[in-house]
Amino acid sequence: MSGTAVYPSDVRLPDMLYGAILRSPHAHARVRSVDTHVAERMPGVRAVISSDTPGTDIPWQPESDGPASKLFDPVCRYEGEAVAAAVAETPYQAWDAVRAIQVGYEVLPFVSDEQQARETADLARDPSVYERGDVGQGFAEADLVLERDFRVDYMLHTPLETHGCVARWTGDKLTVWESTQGVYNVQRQLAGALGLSMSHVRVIGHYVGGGFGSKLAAGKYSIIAALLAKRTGRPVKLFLTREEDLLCTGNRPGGTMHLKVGVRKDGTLTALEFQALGSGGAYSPWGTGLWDWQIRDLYRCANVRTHGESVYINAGEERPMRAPGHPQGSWALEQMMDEVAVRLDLDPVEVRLKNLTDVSQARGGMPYTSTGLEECLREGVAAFGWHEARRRSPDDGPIVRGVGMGSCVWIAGAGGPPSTAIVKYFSDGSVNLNTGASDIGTGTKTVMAMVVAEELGVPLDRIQIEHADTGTTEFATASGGSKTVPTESPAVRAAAMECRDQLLELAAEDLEVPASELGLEGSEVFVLSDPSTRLEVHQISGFRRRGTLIGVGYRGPNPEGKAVCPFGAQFCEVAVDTRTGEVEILRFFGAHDSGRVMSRLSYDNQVCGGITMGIGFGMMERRVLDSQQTGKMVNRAWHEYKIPTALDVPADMKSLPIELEDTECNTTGAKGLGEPVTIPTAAALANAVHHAIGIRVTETPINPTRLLELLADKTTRRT
Amino acid sequence: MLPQFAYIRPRTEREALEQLTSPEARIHAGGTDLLGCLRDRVFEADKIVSLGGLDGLEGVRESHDGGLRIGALTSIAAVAENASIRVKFPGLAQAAEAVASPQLRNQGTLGGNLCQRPRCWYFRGDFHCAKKGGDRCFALAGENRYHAIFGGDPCHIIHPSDTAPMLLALRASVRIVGPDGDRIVPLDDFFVLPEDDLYRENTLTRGELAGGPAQERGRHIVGEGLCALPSAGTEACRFTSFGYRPYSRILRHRVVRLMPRAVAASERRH
Repeated sequence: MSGTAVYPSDVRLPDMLYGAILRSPHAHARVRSVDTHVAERMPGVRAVISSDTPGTDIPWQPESDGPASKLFDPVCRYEGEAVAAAVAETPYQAWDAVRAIQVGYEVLPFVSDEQQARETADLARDPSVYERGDVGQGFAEADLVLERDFRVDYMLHTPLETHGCVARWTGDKLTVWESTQGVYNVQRQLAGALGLSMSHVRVIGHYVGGGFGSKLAAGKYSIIAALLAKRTGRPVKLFLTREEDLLCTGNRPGGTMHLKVGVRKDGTLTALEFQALGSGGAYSPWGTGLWDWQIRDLYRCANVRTHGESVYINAGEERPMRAPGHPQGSWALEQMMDEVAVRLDLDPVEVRLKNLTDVSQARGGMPYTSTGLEECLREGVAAFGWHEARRRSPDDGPIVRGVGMGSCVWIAGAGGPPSTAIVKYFSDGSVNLNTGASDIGTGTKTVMAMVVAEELGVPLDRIQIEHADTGTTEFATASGGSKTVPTESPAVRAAAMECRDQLLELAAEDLEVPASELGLEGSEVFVLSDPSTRLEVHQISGFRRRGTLIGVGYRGPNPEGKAVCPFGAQFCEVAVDTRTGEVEILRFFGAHDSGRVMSRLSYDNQVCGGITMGIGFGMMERRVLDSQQTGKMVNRAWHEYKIPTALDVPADMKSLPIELEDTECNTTGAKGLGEPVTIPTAAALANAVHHAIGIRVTETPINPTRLLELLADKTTRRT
Repeated sequence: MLPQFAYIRPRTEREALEQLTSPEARIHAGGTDLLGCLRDRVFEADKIVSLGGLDGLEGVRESHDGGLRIGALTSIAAVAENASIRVKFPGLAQAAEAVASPQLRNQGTLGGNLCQRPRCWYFRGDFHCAKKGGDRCFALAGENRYHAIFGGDPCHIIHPSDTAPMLLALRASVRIVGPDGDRIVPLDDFFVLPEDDLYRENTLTRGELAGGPAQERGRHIVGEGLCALPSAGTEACRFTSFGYRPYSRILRHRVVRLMPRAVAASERRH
């Protein structure tokens, strides 16, 4: 760690101005008037823009099928929508100017509640329905039918680096340093919004201080920064405050679920029926999107019906968040599987093992290239000491221990085309790797360098990486969906192989041996049949004449007719204080099958990070709206919106890679990892709490307030 | 963003008291709550008076009768780590350890911990609530999971200090220095409930300062600094802490047994 990384929020340019955005203080309001006269004349203020400013009539998210809106829309549909913006010599002056803008609002009735939205015209979308088999028949065949309501709260991304960018014009060309997971997405959106050729928009995102899905695309701030820079002729930095970031840069949708499970005495599933109601906020149609994927695909079940309703409410919009939809569905499914085990007096792991499948049922029975769920369960059980922990005699004190588990499948994680990588091989044996992918803190650069090193034998410290710059690097899709490694690493490998082939061809001329009979080892070419005949790479005459070799690699197609998915199982042990409702997590264990382990350090880091985020979802995090009075968000600071810190997660957190060889998925054998690792965490915790105290917590988060209420209910019922 | 203000660092207590008489002067000790309040516009300030230049407000000293004198500028971390406190008043050390994060414990002071503004997401947020001069307490009909469950009218705010309940249990007193001299106030009488005065949380008035040089008074009051602790242990206390830290509320009029589980939880966590 050198501390030399320059994040977009660290960028400082000569003559740079600072922007700030005025946001609606109301959950729903019509903007009647915007008076910027006072603000414009304040010290240091260089420009103020609003819907009255020419050139700001720009459609927002025209590609979305949610409600249409504009950059400064006359109707603010959630607290925090952009109304105007100012730019000044200092951030303080910009904020003073924003506060001095006079806005006349007509406050409109708001809707914070999904159920209320469901009954309001224009707010409910057509339900999304999935069905296979005959659910009625399945329940008829069941020895036991269980059903339950669940609720999950809205969760926020909370990246350490807030959303924002620095924008600079050079003539009619725009350069933007953006904190993003996908520079090409931002480039396309900015070019579209500003009517520019893509060739005139350069987006650079060398580092990003966390995104978790909330930085896959441009924000209004990107367009506003560009407009303000254009008006002033100076570079503009516009990064959101922490409060703005929590208020309006995305969330994981919450809502209610109902799950009904039919099962035979031996634990075999006969039917699953799932209903969900949730909201993606004011604009995103993705309320309950993918909530049902675990139900549809994780366990073998012939009869499945799911019904997802998404509604619009006056709240910040959803953005994809680490395994979108999956932890929500997992909260219901994994708890029901646990309940099945309890009711049938079976081991929860046994119930999962009873219902394994090696085909993707939600894809019409398509086989997986590899599925390690069984190994995740069996090896996880052994390494965690599951049976010993389950068998431990019950504690008689006020602090009670329990263990729980959950498993998962992630819908994506295959990656796929398109991706282009370029390896530039210099005559001294060093390498420049060029790829457009963003490294979102998942170790992308490390892994790609390792692929080059593996193929060319170049030491890591001789590999220089250029990445995430639309001006100088190749097209890459945004880093999300746990697909960066499986998408980019095969392209990098192909590029390196091309270099290698060229190098051996040139060496063949000097050694007068056919290239097919040569090998490469470190910086030396050698004859396969006579390894003592060697040639240093820099001695190859053809190479020295050419100066560099260029290898271009493309990502080939995924295997036809096969599904590529990561799997996992997590186990945990908790201690519940029955007097205070406090839950201490004693240990957590993640056994994940994501194909080949590319870098063990970054692999384990992903697993622990995913578990940490899952602990937040399960035990701490919830967006709170003042839903009875104003519809405004009340916990818009980290003091009130608590995320797990090092003190909240167990020191005993372990990762066990289930490294199955997958020769079909792609040329490096790696499947995605970053998202499955957060899917079953919260449900595993809930199951552990149930094991400890016999109380099923069906609503997130599991906090002392909720547990005390449930403990009190249990006592009351007993007496 | 912060408002514009003058920053003054007096060298003497007298000078500090003079500076504090102006209407929008605010004390800067550790600054951890002050900066947040200014940034969130909980209150304005035209003058920030730093206590950093004053001598004798920092540190823990034993008094002749076995009590402790803790200076107002003693950091929370120092309170948590102090050997005398850990031996004589382990509950106070544990309470200090429960405060916020290591950074805030290093920067925040014991005086500031007692004098911080209370926390309520409506009061601290973008809501014109009763405590800010508005016409209602939003917590009453709103999101009140972390609000007062006893008393309440006209404001259901809670005091966030982790150290206050333990200091109350230990029957600590506060020495207050003002333009008209100084006085010793039992911590019990230091705090002001919303029903008594909506706009303040303690008995400090304009121009007063908590803490100061040594002066012995009475059996339990051993002088120097902000808090004086009696040497005797305490089997009963006059407060409870409800719910999950850092939310606590002081009940002035009840005698409640100190909940040992709070201590147990704190022990386990750290």
